[in-house]
Amino acid sequence: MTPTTLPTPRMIPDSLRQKIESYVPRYPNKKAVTLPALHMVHSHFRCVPYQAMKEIAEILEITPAEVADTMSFYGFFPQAPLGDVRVWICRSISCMLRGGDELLEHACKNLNIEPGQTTADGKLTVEFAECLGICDHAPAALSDDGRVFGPLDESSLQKMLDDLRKGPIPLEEL
Amino acid sequence: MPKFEPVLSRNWNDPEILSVKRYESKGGYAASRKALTTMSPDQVVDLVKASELRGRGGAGFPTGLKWSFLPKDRKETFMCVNGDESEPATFNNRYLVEKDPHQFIEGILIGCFATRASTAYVYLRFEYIKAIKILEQAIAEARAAGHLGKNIYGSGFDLEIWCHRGAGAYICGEETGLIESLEGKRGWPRIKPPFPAIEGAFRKPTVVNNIETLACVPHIVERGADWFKSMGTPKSYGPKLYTISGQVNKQVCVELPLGVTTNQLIEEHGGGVWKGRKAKAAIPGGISMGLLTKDEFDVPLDFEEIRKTGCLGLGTAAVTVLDETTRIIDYLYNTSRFFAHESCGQCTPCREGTGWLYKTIKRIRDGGGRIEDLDLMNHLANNMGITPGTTICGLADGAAWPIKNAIAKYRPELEQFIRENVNPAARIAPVQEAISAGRSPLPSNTSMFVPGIGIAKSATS
Amino acid sequence: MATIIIDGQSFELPEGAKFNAIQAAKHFGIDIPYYCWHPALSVVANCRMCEIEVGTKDPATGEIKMLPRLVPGCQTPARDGTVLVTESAKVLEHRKNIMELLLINHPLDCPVCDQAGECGLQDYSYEHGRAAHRFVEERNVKPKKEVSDLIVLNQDRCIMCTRCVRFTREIPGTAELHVMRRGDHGEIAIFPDQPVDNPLAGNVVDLCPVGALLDKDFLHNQRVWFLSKHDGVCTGCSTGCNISVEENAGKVWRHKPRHNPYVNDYWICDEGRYGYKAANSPTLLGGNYVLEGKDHHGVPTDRFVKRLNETLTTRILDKQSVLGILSPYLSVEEAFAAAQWLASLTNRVELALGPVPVRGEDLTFAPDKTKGRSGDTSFIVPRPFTISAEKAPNRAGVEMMLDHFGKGAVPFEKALESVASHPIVIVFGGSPDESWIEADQVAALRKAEVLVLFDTTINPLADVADFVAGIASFAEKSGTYVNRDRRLQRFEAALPPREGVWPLLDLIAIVSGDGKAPIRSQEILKAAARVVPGLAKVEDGLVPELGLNLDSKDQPIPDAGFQDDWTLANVSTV
Repeated sequence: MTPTTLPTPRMIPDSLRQKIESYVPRYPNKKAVTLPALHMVHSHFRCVPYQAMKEIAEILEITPAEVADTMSFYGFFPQAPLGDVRVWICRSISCMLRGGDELLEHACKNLNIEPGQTTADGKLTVEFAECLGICDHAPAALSDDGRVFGPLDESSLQKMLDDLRKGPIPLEEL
Repeated sequence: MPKFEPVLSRNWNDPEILSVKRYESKGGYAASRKALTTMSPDQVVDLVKASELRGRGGAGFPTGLKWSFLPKDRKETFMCVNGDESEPATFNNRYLVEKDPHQFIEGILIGCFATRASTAYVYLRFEYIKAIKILEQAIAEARAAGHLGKNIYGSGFDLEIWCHRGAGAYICGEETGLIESLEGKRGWPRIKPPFPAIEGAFRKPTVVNNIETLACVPHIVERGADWFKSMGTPKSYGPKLYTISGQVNKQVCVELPLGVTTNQLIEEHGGGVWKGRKAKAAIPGGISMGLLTKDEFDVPLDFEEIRKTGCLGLGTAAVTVLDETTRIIDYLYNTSRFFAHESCGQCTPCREGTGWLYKTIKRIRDGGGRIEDLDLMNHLANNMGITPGTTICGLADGAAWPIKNAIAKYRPELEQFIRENVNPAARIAPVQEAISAGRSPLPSNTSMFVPGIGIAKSATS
Repeated sequence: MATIIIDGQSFELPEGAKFNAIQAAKHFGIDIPYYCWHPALSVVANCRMCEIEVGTKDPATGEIKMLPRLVPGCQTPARDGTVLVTESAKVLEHRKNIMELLLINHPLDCPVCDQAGECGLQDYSYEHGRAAHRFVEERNVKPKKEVSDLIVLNQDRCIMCTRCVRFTREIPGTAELHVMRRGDHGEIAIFPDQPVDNPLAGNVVDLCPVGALLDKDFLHNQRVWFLSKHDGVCTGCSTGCNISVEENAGKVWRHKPRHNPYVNDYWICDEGRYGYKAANSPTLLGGNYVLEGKDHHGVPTDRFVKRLNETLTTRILDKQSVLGILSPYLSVEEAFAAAQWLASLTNRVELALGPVPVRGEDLTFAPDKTKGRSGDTSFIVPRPFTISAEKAPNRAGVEMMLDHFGKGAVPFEKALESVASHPIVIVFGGSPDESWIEADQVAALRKAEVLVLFDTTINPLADVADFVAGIASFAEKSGTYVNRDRRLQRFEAALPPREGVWPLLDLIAIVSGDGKAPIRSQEILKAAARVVPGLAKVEDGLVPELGLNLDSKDQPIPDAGFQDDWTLANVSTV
């Protein structure tokens, strides 16, 4: 399909589109690029709007419903835009045994939000997680720029939240 | 027994090991060079078979045997490396990728050579942001140094490795769920047969191996099958990365020969139970496995012995310790919440069963439990999973096992909890109670209209 | 010979059969309940209803080894030595469990649900379920939504079998439906503003084993147990899909597909599905009419026949010639009787074919097996489905009669040119579409001195013809059609002829004085087979259930006749 057949205005910029297309040779078929494409669109917009799903479908020659099927299955892709930083506080077994559930509650209360919501200033989204794979830090948290926090207690949690509100760090600094 | 010398983790204290030069200078990529230039693929398969290496991902299936299931006349093969590592309390694969990526890449290279796969996809869970960054860097360096790409070491063998990020779904650690996810679909496991070796990714013969499994392979090629079998217990050979977390003083990942005991792990590596308390129980290998009571802490943590305790298996060797103050109901609440959240929703028993079990356990925990709930949960748990044959994959077994196991091992505690924790607000609605007891939900003086009969009976029965 | 053992009894599998356990058991009269499996869709084994005990018999020792766990029948190939146990305590208990699980979040709204009476949950609850369920927790409540203008999705009733999703992906290939989220929060959904929009869309309603996907056209119109089902053949195009015409109280309420692997497999297109409406149309002719002056006057059949015969006899004695036009909507029998009667009037008769409507091009949906899930699905045989551009059911059958009685299939346009040389024109219509003839064609025909029309609708030609006889509509007649592949297929009348109207066969018998009404179409077919060479295969007048290819021998299809339980549920009628 040629770019001219896409509905206007297009949402996915050319540079991102080319990046998505550059993944096509990695796989035997285009559909397999769905997850990478969703990730790329997500990091660009910090959400995957319906229009973007339509455009991914066009690039990959599948239907928008197939993109939605895949996307909605996974926990990673939010429907609503996120805060500048997204942080997951783990509630699975090792973290729970060390107070993970309480920390999540504490953080949300502190920020006056529910798990899954974004602070009023748009700086921070707090979500629960089912095991982050960083149980050596339990009770642990992970921000979407890759920073790992833990073992947390109430005071280090507060420090973490303050740090996170300063904004994301670039990947190179990880 | 000679003193155990770590191999998988030997470079973990060397931050320079991330560079290909450093890894090469420590003897790295010698095994892959040896395999590709002096051995045939079948010889590598035979060697791994002889080592009796068993998959480190959870099921413990013999790796060499898995490789030998590939059809002889295949034209194209895919390697999928399972780094979804989503079993709660497990993080050994992350260590392997973050702390020694080239060892892992070398493992992939040999594994792909043995199985004649010229494309490998490393499926890593999205949470491993740093690991993905390190791995992609390492792949680029390995490629530049001639360990990947076309005609590697002049052997005629080509290999490309691609990282594929997951997106937050436990089920994608199941091998066919992983394949579906790789193909751009929801991670719904496939029916078997056909097994991936016959028809896997993109409908081609496919091998799915765990990161740790592949990381063992260079060492087997380098030191031989006998060396590998000199460690461990019967049918469970070689080194294993154990992780210890939960209510212990030190949460660590440590390499030991297979067959270490829980007591050893807690005392020698975990720094003992935290807060000076005693242990109550431990999960031997991820929450799907059930609990070891403290009386079972001397059972070797290997593929065989652990099953005799009523646990599902060794799983991922992720040991989680529960101290004496931890309530079994809280543990069950946690596991059932996890599986209700992670059930893919494909098979009826798991989709509906995990949600049902979670709701029931939550009600009990809130103080609305009934003793008969334990029997009901036991019945549900006994009828879901691959073991009774009612689901496609093992997620339901993992969801059911902690419940069956806890009811078998801790029923008195659970019953006591139900009796002592009564919160009227949490109890089930009287109408539900009446229906489930086979009584009429209506007040006793109400007449019921029965179609075809008329006003037939009073709802007193 | 392959032998399979089911519940201790040995059966010989038919030659070449590739069955799964469900099909094999059904072939021998044993039902294994299932929901998600469908004979034309990929196997996913997610409902787990069809689980049975499976084993193999060693051919050498005769020893039977059973698998320790239950196995879904849908993914179990029936091979030589396969052992199935479908009624053990373990299996029965399992079915109870599955029914209970499927119903924990299901509303108890059967009294207001359209599916009631043909519902997989009702049927299996009764057969396999337990009386009281043990679920006492709060239910998940899911929304009701529209997936197209014609289809409503009651998500609260859905059992997530994914038949509908697989259908849109694997048969039309349009993939509008998808699964949203996961676990017990999963739902069937469409992408916003992209409704299910393909020519086969309505099939998802038939496929749905429960009351989740419902047809708004039928919604709350009828209780299904009041409907009588009649085996019909769709007249919407020359494919000739096998349908069930379902009527009550003198009206047709819906069309459903009937399985025929040689024609339409399990499907029908939406045009055929909603084509039933023509049977209830207010524009159907309600009797016989004679043009007097400028107006048509309704006359009883006996007077109509008398006046028609007087007119024809006089003119034919006058050596006037006849042009007979036979529409491709006539059945084989009607065309035979009509042509025979015309030929009996005079030897100066010319026969021609009525207008054959053609719209667009043939549309073939060739199922793509690679779109489905992988697995040993050799017993899944998705067949292509074609919607023909030729929008009439029986051109081939009518042409056989034109060949036999006339000079072949003279096309309609050519016939119009020869009206001048034929003072008498007799047209046999039958199209359900009142605009089947255009104004200039009407004008050309009207140049005849006597214009006679046998037709079903009030249409422009009826407005000007001297004699207009109302005849039975497609839903009111029985007979056979020959489809595009020269397959002769029988259909039954679903409704009695409307008041004041005769089936054409009876009317011709009365007009010609040849035979006595009521005429059985089978007798006419027999008579036709004696004289028309192409019909020699049906000399006994009997047409097999799946029809008969007039030219070649059918390739045997072992799974032919496997009617999916939920596409066309057997409803016991009151």
